[in-house]
Amino acid sequence: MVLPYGYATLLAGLLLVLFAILFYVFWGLWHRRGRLSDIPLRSLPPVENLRTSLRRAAEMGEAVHLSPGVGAIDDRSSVAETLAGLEVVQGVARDALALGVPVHVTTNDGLVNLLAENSVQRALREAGHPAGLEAASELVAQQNRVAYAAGVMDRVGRPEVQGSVLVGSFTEELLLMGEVGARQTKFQVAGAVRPDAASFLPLVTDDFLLGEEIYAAGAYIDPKPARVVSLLAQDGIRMVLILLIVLGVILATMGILEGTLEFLFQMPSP
Amino acid sequence: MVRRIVSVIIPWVLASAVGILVLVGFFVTIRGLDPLLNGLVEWATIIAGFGVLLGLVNVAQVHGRRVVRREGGWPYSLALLLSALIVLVLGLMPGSYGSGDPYVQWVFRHVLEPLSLTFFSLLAFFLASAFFRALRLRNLEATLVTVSAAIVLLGQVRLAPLRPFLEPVVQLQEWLLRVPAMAGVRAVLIGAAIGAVSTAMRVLLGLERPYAE
Repeated sequence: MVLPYGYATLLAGLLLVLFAILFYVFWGLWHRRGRLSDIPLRSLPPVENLRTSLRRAAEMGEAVHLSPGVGAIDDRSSVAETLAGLEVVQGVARDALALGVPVHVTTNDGLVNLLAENSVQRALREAGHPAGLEAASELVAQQNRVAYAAGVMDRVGRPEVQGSVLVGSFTEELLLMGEVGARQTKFQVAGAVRPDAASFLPLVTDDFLLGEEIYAAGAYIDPKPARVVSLLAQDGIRMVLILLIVLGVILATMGILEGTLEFLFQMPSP
Repeated sequence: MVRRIVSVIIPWVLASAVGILVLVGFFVTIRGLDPLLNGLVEWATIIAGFGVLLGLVNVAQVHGRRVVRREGGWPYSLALLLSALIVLVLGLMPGSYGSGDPYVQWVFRHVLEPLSLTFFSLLAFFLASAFFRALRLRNLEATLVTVSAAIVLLGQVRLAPLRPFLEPVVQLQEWLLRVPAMAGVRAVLIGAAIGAVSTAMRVLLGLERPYAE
């Protein structure tokens, strides 16, 4: 039994264990207190603005477009972002349908489309199957970012679409999709992690979710206990990492920590 | 009860067990476990293939309905269905090499790739219009992005006569990329990695079940 990525694997494992401990501590606190209002959450203005925009769409009788991005479930590099995007899709679809706003979901992968369809059907059920409302997920392209962007640009540009929520796994094509809505002054909430998409976020909308905010958004839109508790654990881990970074900077400045941390990636001797 | 077992509990147990097994395989190399883990990866590929098949059914349903009802833009839907059918026939006809067949490859090389490249090249124009709008609206973040992009673009100019004038811009560009941009990217990526761990843990523990009904 060996560590496949050197001692850094141990560090990653320790972080996972710490996350699990924090999660169960907050889970225990949650069940003792039993109310969300007792647990402080940092503010996330794009989610608040999204609710206002959905109400406006309901008044105008127009639809909303939702996208979990261009990622795939069988792609390690994008699966977490895609799952976060699907959480947002389900939460927003439920809120929109409850207000009477039709929902159009588009995807770029067959498996993601199945999950999105599942999310939409669940949202329909949670909203009580409102009569005469459309809610469907449509596969626009199969792992082809450019073709998907072209399809989304068409959907967002339609007059019956009031706005768009683009939160999940995106790269440069986010600008192509977001620019259509920005030009037509439709409401947009965009969220991405990758630097090649993140730099375009402020250009397409004022309501953007940057980096880890896309993972937090699900807890704000649909505050299930597991989501809120894991968000608190996530913040706890972040604080630990910030402390470690500050400590590293101080030690390096004082000359106590010298050289690099390459030893972490060396294989342990058998 | 039976419905709940089939649609919720069995998928949950399977997903959690497989996820935890693969996670253990990442942290430690256990010799006996390797064939099982490789087998699971192959299964994932096969299941993804079925996903594509179901996706094709979804495309046929959505666009077929649009053509039958003569909804707006139905000729495009018809073109999409015909294109899909042509590629499918080319890849499945007797004697074909599937996705490696020369005819299928021709379609990809001479139709799909030029179309994709043409469309993606629009990004430059979209970027210019987005920058212009950002400056006009005086949005602080967008203005910062625009000014930084302009500095980086100017810093990349390699025209020899202009080099002496652009030297301070080149230095500023290098500093921008090395210090604020690098720090920002690292901060975003570290935060996102923690978020990804949190999402993965919820799915692994069955607290979030996107796969279950």
